[in-house]
Amino acid sequence: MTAHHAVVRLRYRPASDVVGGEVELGALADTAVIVESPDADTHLEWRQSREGEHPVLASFQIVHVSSVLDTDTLRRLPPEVASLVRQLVRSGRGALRDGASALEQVQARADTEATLTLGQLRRPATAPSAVPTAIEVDTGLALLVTAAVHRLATVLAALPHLDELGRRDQLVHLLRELADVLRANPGTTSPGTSAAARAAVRGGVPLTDGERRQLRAALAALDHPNTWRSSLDDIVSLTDTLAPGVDR
Amino acid sequence: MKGTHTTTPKGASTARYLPLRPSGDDPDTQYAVVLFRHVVRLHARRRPHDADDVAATVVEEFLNHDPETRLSIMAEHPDAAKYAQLVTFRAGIDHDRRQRVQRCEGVRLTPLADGGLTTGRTWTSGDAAPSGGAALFERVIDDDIPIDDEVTHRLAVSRLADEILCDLDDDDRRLLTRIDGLGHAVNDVAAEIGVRRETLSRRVNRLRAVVRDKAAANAGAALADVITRAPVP
Repeated sequence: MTAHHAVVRLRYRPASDVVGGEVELGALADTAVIVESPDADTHLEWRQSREGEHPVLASFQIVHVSSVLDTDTLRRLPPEVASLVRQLVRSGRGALRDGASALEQVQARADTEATLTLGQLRRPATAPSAVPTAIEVDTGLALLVTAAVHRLATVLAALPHLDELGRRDQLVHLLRELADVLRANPGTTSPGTSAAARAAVRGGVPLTDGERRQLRAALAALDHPNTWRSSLDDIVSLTDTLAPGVDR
Repeated sequence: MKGTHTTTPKGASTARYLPLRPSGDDPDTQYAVVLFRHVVRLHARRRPHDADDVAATVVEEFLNHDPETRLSIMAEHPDAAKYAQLVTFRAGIDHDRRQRVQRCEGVRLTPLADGGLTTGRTWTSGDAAPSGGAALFERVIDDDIPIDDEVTHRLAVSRLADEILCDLDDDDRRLLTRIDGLGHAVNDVAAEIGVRRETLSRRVNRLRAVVRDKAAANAGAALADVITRAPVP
């Protein structure tokens, strides 16, 4: 750390797909902190020495990072840091060895560090939103969405299907996680988990092409609470189609 | 921009933008991975810099249980988010205690922006270089810079703690060292030696009182007040 440079340390956990970073800011570490939690999967902290000055990145955590590498989530980071994150995630996936025990898989990690100028750590002027977005959500609607996503996961898990590649299971786990995150963080979205679930909707899951499109659209709509109502209708309709006893 | 990879993981991604699925389809692993993410989400709001360390601690604890215990946890808390809410707070405290003990909190000083010093680091990280250490060593090496009174005081406390602990019998010394020195949770130690937590807490409190009394007899009440917070070797 010098007056104009800072060391950035990044850590990626491939099994859980979580990246975290911290910046050694020296004297700046004692300045005003700006906390930004735009959704349940993203947390950023910035330091600002004086009002009006550009905030400088202090730390961040992103869950399901490999699913949001080209989305608004990474555009919240300074471009140089976002670039380091992309490199680390792409190379760090190899840290997960085949045949490793569950504990070894969870402990697997890849680290990187770089020295950047303070200018390269400034909050991007084009960041999607500088202010934490506390979204006003109808609690009843949020509960209905949570229950609907859970029911869809349960119905998918019960479908008679040869899941040799485990793709159906992966989608089911991600749908359950999405429902749990939305329930545990009322009023926030979970774009990382929904992007991961959308990526898991692919060949090998027991859905037709049309149903896959419908599910992907419904999951994408969950990233914006003002479209939750239509998303809820789509998920309920898809679940009813898949539910046992319904003629497909 | 200059950058260095501290590890060089091999292999490229095989499925672009798709989350990796841990090998092995056992529900324990799946549960552990989801639990990890929930703990990170929860802890990041409190202290983002060590959220993944705390998550790793929680998950290691979960996976180190015997299979029956893991099954019962998963049956009782099918929603891993709820289990994460139950265990994250305590895990954060335990993690912080271990970190403070590992870096001998109380001796290391960190420079503040206003030129003052504070004990410990302003923030923690598993692998971060201690930002206060260099400043302290400069003070020790250079005779012209006076060593802060608090440093001298804490070193004296540490020496006195050594002497008092040597007077305790082996079991008591081991117990106090584990709990106040190494940061082990009372719950864990109680389970290990087969006594109730309340019983062990009472015993530890009695030992702390003994240590405080001995310290007071040797060095005055002010020192006795901080003695049980001194780093224990």
